[in-house]
Amino acid sequence: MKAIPLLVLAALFAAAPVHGATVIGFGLFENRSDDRDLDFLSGILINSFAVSVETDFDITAKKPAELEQYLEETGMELKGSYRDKELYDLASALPVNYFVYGSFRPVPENRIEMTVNIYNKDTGELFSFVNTGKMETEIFNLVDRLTGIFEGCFKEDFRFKSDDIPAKTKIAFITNLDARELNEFYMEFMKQGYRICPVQGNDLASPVSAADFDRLRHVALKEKSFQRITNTPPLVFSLSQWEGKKEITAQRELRDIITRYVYRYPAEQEKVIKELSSQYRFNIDYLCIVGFDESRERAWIRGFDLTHFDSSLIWIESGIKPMPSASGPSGIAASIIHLSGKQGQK
Amino acid sequence: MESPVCIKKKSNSVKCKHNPRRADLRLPSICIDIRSPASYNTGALNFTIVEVPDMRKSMIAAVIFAVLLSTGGCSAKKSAKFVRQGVPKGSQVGIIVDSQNSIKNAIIAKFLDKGFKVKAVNASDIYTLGDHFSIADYKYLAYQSAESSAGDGAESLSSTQKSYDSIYKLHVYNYEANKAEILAEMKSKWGLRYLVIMDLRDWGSLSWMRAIDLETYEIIAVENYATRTTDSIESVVDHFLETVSTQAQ
Repeated sequence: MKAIPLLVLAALFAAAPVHGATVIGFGLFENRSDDRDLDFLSGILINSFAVSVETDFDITAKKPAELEQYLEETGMELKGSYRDKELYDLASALPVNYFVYGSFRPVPENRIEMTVNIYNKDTGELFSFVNTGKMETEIFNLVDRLTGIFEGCFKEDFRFKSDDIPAKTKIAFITNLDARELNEFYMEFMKQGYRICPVQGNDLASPVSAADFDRLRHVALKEKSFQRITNTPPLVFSLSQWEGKKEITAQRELRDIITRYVYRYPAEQEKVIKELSSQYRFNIDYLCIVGFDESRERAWIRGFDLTHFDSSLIWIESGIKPMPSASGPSGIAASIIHLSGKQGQK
Repeated sequence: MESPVCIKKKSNSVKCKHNPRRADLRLPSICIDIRSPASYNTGALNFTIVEVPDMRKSMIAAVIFAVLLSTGGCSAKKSAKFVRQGVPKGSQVGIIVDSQNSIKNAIIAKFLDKGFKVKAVNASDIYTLGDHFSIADYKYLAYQSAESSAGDGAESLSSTQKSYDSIYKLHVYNYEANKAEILAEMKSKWGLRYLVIMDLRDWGSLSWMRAIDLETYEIIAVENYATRTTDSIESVVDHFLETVSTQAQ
């Protein structure tokens, strides 16, 4: 009888991570190629990541074998990719703060391409990226490099940065500032030698409402994305014997919209950003989306490198605060300038 | 506003030291004229002015406080500017300002006086998609179409949220791309080289200006200017004209 309350308490804490400690659960790194001889790499990668993460950062790593016991009666399984709702439900059943999973495949010139997904259970945000490195002797260099990327991902204010934005380059901004604040913001960059492209700066007011601007926080390109995952179920288009051609056509149209703007969104976004860049005659080196909170004392940034043919997401950071010497938009601008030169996580 | 310490007598009036030509009467005028003790005999009326030292100190303290208060209030709206390069005289300049035609004419006249070739661009020339199509309306429509075709309405509402978010984001990027296309048209159709955007505000607010070089697609000058009580539309425009004509900092 006395054991019952203890069991209840144990059950209550089963799905919650240890208070005060960050816990990362490592799922599978699936072999996406047909070469079954490479299956052994999955175990090596997971063990290497788990050890690196526990050694380098003050966090606890749980390997797949430990996680599987929580999934035994749920019918869910560890694998290399998930639909949104599957991921949401799986992570909810695990006593972790973060869930890391992915896949790999060999590519020409003896290299390995890894897709890594880091899901933050508390915020519901999923960061995904593709990284390529040489096989064999350099596989552990790849692990070290990826562990370096992980460091910023497991902080309260997310940080990923793979490249610097040097001074004297041409930057375009999209922000939720009003015109006067935007001038203050631009001035800091201009003083430091940056050249500002007038995206958003060429009319009297911004078209983006403060309420809607937060949608721009989540971005997706082919090789990197930072998205929010919800437990929305998949759409089911049911047809009965009474459905006519008109109804089928309407459902197909809706399916095409969902496909284009959900499943193929990264390709769409990339296309539109290229179009934006071409309208400015490719005079934009970097496009930065910067969202300010109401007090203008905290901001987030999403930075795109447009200098290469394939636009690249190079900077994702939250919780940017102003430099001590200034406040508001100019203080945040000074902070961004300071951070833009800091060594990124390559 | 009459100073409390200005004393007007029947035949020997004391003049207040205030500026009768103040353009804006919103600021209080304070006049202090403290006399040493004296007696005046006007015949019909005898009275004595007595110096009250405590009152004087209180008045001085009140004046200092009022000055500090007004200065503090004004500093919240800071003037600042940066000029990367000036706009040369004789350049073809487009001006965007959202004002009545009479005010636009006054602004254009100022630019012409300074030697610029001017084209007034209506704010509606760079139309906002929001004027013609509200993305928020689409959200409602999307929910309606999802309800009719995808079974349970509640599930459909949440399922289309992601597509709505994506459509909204693409709308923002496309809007900026469309604007860029319009800027390029303005440059080619009207031969504009520079674009100057201004928003003129009343005393207590910040007027602002931005100048763009349409050849390089760069912002070359920005300014926030705290409109003073003595400013008029012409004086603010003159100020901005001086800024855009300045050489690089």
